[in-house]
Amino acid sequence: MKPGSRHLALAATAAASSAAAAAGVWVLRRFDPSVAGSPLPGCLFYEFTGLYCPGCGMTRALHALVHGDLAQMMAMNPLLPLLMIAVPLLVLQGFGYRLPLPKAVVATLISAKFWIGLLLGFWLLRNLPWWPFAWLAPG
Amino acid sequence: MNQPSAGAPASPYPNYLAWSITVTVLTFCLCCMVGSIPGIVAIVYGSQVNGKFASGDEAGARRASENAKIWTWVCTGLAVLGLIWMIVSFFINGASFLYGDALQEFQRMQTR
Repeated sequence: MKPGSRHLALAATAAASSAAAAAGVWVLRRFDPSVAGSPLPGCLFYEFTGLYCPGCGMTRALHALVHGDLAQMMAMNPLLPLLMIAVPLLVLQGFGYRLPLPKAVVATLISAKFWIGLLLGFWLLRNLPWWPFAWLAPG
Repeated sequence: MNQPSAGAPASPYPNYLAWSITVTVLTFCLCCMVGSIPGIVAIVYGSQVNGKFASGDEAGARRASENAKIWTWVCTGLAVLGLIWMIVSFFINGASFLYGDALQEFQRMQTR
């Protein structure tokens, strides 16, 4: 991507993400996803299979985050803080910016093995009922 | 990682990895499974591009790049659908959550 269009794409993405984040914070300050009958949708995979997916607990983790409860956030979905750092970096990398990070970190960030291993591993481990894996399940 | 070593020409075929990983992660938070499977397919194809190019398999690298592009777009489309579904279901459920009592009261008055 050329530098000009790169900056434009980044500005548009940043504006859209800020609007989405503002809307998300507003909704999560007013609605509690743990309340029965809450308008916030649950996980379809969990609904059909009774098993957790890697994203299960994400809404409750974000709810805990906007209420400043970091321990509860980690209990609901420990992947959230990692994604909040990694996804913006991935977007920058995708637009062609050179990240001011060590080479090994950038290589891991765009490594297929790392992400597939992380997501599938997390998916499997959080469904195991024993300690310490049960800690990865939401709740 | 399949990064080309210093001095080797970089692959002219994009692997779309940053994009495909981003949308795959997002689909897990939005519509679960449905969008994540094409996302993982895109990541697998994307990861083959640089390696195939480095080993001289130019046609293979181009094919892997094209496949990665297609599956990344499929995953992106499903992520957008998941987002729309989330917003629509929020408004539908939100209406009954906020005004459920009022709606029931209204229905009782109608049937009376």
